[in-house]
Amino acid sequence: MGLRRSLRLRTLVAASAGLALASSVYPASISAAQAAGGRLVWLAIAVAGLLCVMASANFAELSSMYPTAGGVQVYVRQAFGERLAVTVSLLYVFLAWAAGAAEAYVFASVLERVFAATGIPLLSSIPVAVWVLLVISFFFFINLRGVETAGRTQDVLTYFMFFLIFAVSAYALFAAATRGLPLGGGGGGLGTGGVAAPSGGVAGFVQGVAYSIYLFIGFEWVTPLAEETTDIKVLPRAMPIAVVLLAVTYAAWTTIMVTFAPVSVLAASPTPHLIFAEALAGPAGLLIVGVVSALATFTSFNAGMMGNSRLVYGMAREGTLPKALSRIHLTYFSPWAALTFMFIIELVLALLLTLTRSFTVAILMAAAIECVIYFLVALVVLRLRRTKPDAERPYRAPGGAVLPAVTAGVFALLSVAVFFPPSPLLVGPFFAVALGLSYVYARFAVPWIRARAGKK
Amino acid sequence: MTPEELTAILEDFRLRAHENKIVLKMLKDWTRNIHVTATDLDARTWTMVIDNGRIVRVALEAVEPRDIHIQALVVALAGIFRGELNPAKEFAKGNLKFIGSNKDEMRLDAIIQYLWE
Repeated sequence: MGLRRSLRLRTLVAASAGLALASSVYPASISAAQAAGGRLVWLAIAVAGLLCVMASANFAELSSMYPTAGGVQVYVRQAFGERLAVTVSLLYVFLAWAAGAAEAYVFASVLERVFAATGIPLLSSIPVAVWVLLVISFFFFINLRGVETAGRTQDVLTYFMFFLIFAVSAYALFAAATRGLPLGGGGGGLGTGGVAAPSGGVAGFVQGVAYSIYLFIGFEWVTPLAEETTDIKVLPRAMPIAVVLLAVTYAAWTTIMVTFAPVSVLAASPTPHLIFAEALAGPAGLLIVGVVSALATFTSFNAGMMGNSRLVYGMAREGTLPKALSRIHLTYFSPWAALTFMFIIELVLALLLTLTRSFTVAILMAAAIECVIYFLVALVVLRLRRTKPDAERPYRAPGGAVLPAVTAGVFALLSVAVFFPPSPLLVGPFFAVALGLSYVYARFAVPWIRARAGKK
Repeated sequence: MTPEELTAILEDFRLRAHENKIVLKMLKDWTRNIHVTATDLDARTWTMVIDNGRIVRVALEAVEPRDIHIQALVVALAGIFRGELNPAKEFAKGNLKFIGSNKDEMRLDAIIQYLWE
């Protein structure tokens, strides 16, 4: 339990990629394939990766100016004041709920399918809703006990997952070539094969890019570690490396998924990666990819729940959320009140997703929130360059004002693109509610809570 | 503010911690060297030496090994350890740096919270 003195590039890359190595990424990538077309999905993912690399330069500049664990809320506060900083923090909380519920539901579906295939008595007949309850409760209890994945274990798990995904992709490419399946053509062995998913033209491709932003979810969550690096220029290298690794991995994986099964079949399932695995290698494939999925959920869900419960705890401590959420467990020193709050909301949302099977609503809402945050961060860079031109910037995003301006414009466009068909109709209204509630809370509730605390 | 004044504040914090039953429970089994650096006093560093659940001393030097490192302006440090400033607020403003494990961060914040709030 010593002090982390200096984080290396390897660890920072793992931390940046960690949240995005999740099970819910697979249905998100199929949504991208549905919009952009099976043969072009790799390009949509590559373009989304490039845009995230551009966004990472903005984060890198701000983290070099403010190397604090406060991260994005500190940057936004410096540029636009507390109200917008609180709004952004609450948007992150909504993002955590949406992505967490989707992750729990997708992983519960993985467990149901894998155990159903094994035929083990009792385990093979457990319904998804019970798996959802078990998965979320498991992560709640290990977080309550303050169990953390040690830095080195997290590194090993992350790179092991990259290796496994690459290895399966390479094997699948070989198998596709020997079976004569056209890449991205969709349908090898699943009956309706040989027909590529229709492309939605330029608009569809733009939407494919917007959906693909979910594949890089949380790459910026490494910025709070800026103060623990000896060389401030390591972080600006770590984020793009992580994003490029994710882009290559998911571009290859999604292309082979839509090579082995029709997009329409994959899109209807919360576990498209298992459909692909079974088509590729039968029950053995199902089991291997099930293990990859379990590892992915273990690292991403645990880190996500821990990070977000601490965000809620921090906001309660500084008086922007009710003080009751700042209670700490006196034995495990975990923020039990914030954790319980996150647990209940995520459980309810995940059960709702189980009932309605509308997991894409949660995934696309999270993608839209990420786009809005990247848009805002680009505006923060532009504003701080104008209001604090002489502030020390050990790292400056290249290209003058062009890069942040282009990033802001593109992410604004992408955040809007998420709301149009083929996205489910509910994505837009749910996003509007999340944004509206965040702003209204920051505008009216925070001053009221502060005034009440002041009177006490 | 002088280094002697901050030393007195940290010493007062140490004594108050030992008078509070809940804080003593939170300190139980804890052994850490907490470095406190005032960034505007030539990065002068104090160490709160916690040994097996007791804050045994406050040293006006960097006692190794360092387990936790807190850095801020001397006024902010004084305000936090006197209970006049909320460390979470200072942290959110980027005025306070904390380096250490997540669990240690939570424990120290809990101690400050229960002692003053």
